[in-house]
Amino acid sequence: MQKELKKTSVRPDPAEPSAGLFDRIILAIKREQELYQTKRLLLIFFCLLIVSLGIAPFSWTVLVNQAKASGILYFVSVTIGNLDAFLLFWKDFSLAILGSLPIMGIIFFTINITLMVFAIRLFLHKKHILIDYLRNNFTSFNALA
Amino acid sequence: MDEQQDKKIVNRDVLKWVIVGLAGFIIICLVLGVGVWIGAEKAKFSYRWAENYNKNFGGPRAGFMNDLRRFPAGDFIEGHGTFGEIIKINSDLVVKGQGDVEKIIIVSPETVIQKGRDTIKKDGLKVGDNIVVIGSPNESGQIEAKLIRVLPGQPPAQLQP
Repeated sequence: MQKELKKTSVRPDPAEPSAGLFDRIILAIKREQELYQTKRLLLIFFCLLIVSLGIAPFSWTVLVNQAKASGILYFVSVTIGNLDAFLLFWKDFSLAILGSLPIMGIIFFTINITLMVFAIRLFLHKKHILIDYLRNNFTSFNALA
Repeated sequence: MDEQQDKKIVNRDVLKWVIVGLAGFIIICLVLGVGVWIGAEKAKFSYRWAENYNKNFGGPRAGFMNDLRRFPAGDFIEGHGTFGEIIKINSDLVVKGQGDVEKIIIVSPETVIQKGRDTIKKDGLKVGDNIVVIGSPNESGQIEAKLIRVLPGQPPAQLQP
């Protein structure tokens, strides 16, 4: 009985870790971090794209309405149609155009376009990572289905 | 030797960014300055227009009770140009423009009046014509027209009822 107990209580020597285990762990951690970063990037990209696309028609409408109401289009067309008069009275022409600039509309639309360009630039800058991630997810989703 | 070259490169980069920053700052200052100047010009014209409303149009803008809260309606009034419908012609023109604001347009012999490709006289203008005026404001809150262009066809969209 005691012999049997001795046999069972003998603890075996811990197995030697296989070569390269530490490197594999580090690699797995790095991959996990990259995956997290990719998810974050994708979320930022989609948020920016959806927000900028969502407000684009609204900001465009604001800009067009303000431009119509301010009369800048008339002043510009008169300036283009009367370049000789513009050269004579450039100050009045310039002030008429500058004074009727739809500032709020321009600011709103510019911010909108900047957001959109930033989102597209973000996508193009990291397109390989994002496309790979999307492709992998899509194939795993298809396999599940 | 390498360290010195690195330092030079870093200094060059710093200098480049300082120059870019300064240029950006100057551009922002210029834009702000132009904005402030244009705003001041508009405010000046609006003030003169309101000051001389009684003299120009024969009565306070918001009735004889003079409801000052209604002035100026929205933004300040543009003094270097206007567009709208001619509502009265005497020695000058009275134009109803943005926000139903009436403006007196002074037509001098030097004023160029264009209709299509033709240059016309002041007599060629009639009540109901839609015009675009470029000119300069005077001390009485009126616009001394340099160029008047008669718009063909429909009135400007924002003036339609």
